[in-house]
Amino acid sequence: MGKKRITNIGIDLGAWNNAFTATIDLYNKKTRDALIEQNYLQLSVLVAILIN
Amino acid sequence: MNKGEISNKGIELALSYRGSINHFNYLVSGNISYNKNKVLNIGNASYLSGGNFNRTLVNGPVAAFWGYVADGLYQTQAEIDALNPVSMEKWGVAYDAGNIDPGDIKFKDLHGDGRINDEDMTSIGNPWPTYVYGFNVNLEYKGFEFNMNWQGVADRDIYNNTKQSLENMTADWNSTSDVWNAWTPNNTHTSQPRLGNATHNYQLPNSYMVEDGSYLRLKKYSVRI
Repeated sequence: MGKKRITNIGIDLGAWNNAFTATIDLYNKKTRDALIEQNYLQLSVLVAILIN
Repeated sequence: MNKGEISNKGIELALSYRGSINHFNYLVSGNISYNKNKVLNIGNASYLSGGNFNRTLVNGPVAAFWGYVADGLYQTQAEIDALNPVSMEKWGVAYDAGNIDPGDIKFKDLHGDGRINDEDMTSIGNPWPTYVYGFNVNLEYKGFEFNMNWQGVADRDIYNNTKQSLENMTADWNSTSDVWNAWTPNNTHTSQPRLGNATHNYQLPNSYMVEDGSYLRLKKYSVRI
């Protein structure tokens, strides 16, 4: 789905013989050409579907 | 044709701690992420429509909820009658197309032109959670094990479109007990519109239908002996 460009930076930490661990990640993702216009049902039609 | 550019920026944090006390072993872990979804461009279009109540605009999230801002209910016919002359004189049409009665939803005139029309619609909610989180607890004692996994999202809106059927009773639809709380001349201290107004503004996209979509659930647990 579209073209993606991801920038990511992370830190992994461990302490007390890795009894405690922490991971932090920062990301910046850009996606191009992922949007597309489509026809959709009108509200009155959607309501009709809900009738018993 | 595919188009547009979307940005997702965020941070993810995960923590865990395991330890033991005599024969008792435990592991506690959790994670949380923050994400900001923003549309950077949509080509030459001023917006993209994603359904009856979604609209994608530059600088907003993908498929933001789009509609009128609900501002309580009309309580009296006099209140409505006071609005129509101004709109009729200025625009030649009734305020809110004349489709209102006491007990109907009052929309904000955001455009400030003395009438309710498409120009008063705005972004009324974000379907994407800002925070997604979870945590796990694993306990073990001499062969007995207990594990559980919780998961949740926060700062997310949902558009509860079924509400207009469940609360409305315009036709022979399923309803909930909420109908007992609908506005009537004798029950005016409620935020719920009157019954049977399906042809009125109740069916237009509006913020009365937008609800807090945050949740926390126990996704899984297990016990082993």
